[in-house]
Amino acid sequence: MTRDELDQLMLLYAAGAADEAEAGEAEARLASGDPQAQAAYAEALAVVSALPKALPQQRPPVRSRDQLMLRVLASTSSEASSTPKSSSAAASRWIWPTWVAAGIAAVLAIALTLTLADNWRMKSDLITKSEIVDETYSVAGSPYVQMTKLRVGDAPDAPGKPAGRLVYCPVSDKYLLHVFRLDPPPPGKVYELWLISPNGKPIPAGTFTVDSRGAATHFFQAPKGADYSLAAITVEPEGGSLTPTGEIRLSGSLAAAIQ
Amino acid sequence: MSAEAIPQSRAEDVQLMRRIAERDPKALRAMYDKHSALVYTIALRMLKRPEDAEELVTDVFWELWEKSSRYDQTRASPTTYLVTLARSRCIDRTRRKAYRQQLTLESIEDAAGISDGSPADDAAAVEQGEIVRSALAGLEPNQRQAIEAAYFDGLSHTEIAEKLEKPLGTVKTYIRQGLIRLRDAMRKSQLKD
Repeated sequence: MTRDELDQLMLLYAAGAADEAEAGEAEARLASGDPQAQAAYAEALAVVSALPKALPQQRPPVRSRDQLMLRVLASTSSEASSTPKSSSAAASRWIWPTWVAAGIAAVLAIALTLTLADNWRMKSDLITKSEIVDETYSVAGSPYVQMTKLRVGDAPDAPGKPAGRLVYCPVSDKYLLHVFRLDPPPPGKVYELWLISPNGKPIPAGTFTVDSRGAATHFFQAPKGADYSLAAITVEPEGGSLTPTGEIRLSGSLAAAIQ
Repeated sequence: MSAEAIPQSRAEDVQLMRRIAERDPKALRAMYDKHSALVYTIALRMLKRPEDAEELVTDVFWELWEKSSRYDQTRASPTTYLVTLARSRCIDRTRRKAYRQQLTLESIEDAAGISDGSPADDAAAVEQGEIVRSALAGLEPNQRQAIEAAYFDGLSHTEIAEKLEKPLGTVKTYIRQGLIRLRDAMRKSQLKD
């Protein structure tokens, strides 16, 4: 096989356009460690990988990055705190509510750290495993952050009942919602968050569903300077609604937000 | 934008990949900010549904984080690696769900209306896009369609022949000649990243 034929073979292989025999040939040459084949393949891969650059580039929604970084920091945080503890199963059950509260606070705070990161210069050592938890708690206690409890009707929070926390950062106009113990929405339905302006107009703030524990985390970037007085969660058809149509599952007054 | 911008961009990417391997989340975030539009565009082109594309972007960058040691800078640039990873994961999903629909390069523009993202503004990406578009524009329509069908839709030669209503041998020639012309155009512009 000449060098030109090898280049062509690797181009076809890299583009996913080689037939079975050609793919087998390319793979055999690469597996043999043939440097010419590897160089040809590297060039071919670079050529075909440039194809998507011809497409008009579209950015993914902002929430994708939030979700990714939340996952990353949660993983690094759990690695840092994975030291085995000697407490018994009974003791673990006893401290469960505290652990849940601390966990939720940590998750909320980590997410807030990320959402505010564009505006706040994070100290270079913030990301180190040992300091993540301290930093996230400090963000949660920051005067910039306002938290609203979402409840079922006027009932106070109670064990086993659905509840939610809506955290708002006035610096970035970003909302972070965390809900717990919500029933899975009926088939074909989703939960939708509403932010209601002082004149009573509900603004759709995104849809979400819940995991097997009834929990979900949801972000919403509000327009700059928007003012809301209430938040509510309703059940809506998949894809969401422009105005609420379903029953209110959770709600809370933003005027009563904890700072 | 200077002619050195693309190599400089690649050097920055290599540095980011090194920091990702050292478990630096800020490097991952920088990599995401720089290249998520490219990954999302590939995913949107191949998976069609914005929600699937969004999920794939998160998965690809998560894999970049979790399996950062797999990257070997002597074998491919970070962008090539990322594009290959994204395409590979799209094909995995497409095969799993077995949905394949035709979408042309032009029709992806229509999808802009259903995305809440904004056009990428990275200068290097814009310049690279121009070079590749120019190279693709030099191909015959059949060559371009055949390459797109193979690369983005993962179709076999037989499937492409059916789709284009051309003999199998003709399709193979389209693809081979089209790729060679594309490679030559890119060699000329020295764009291989």
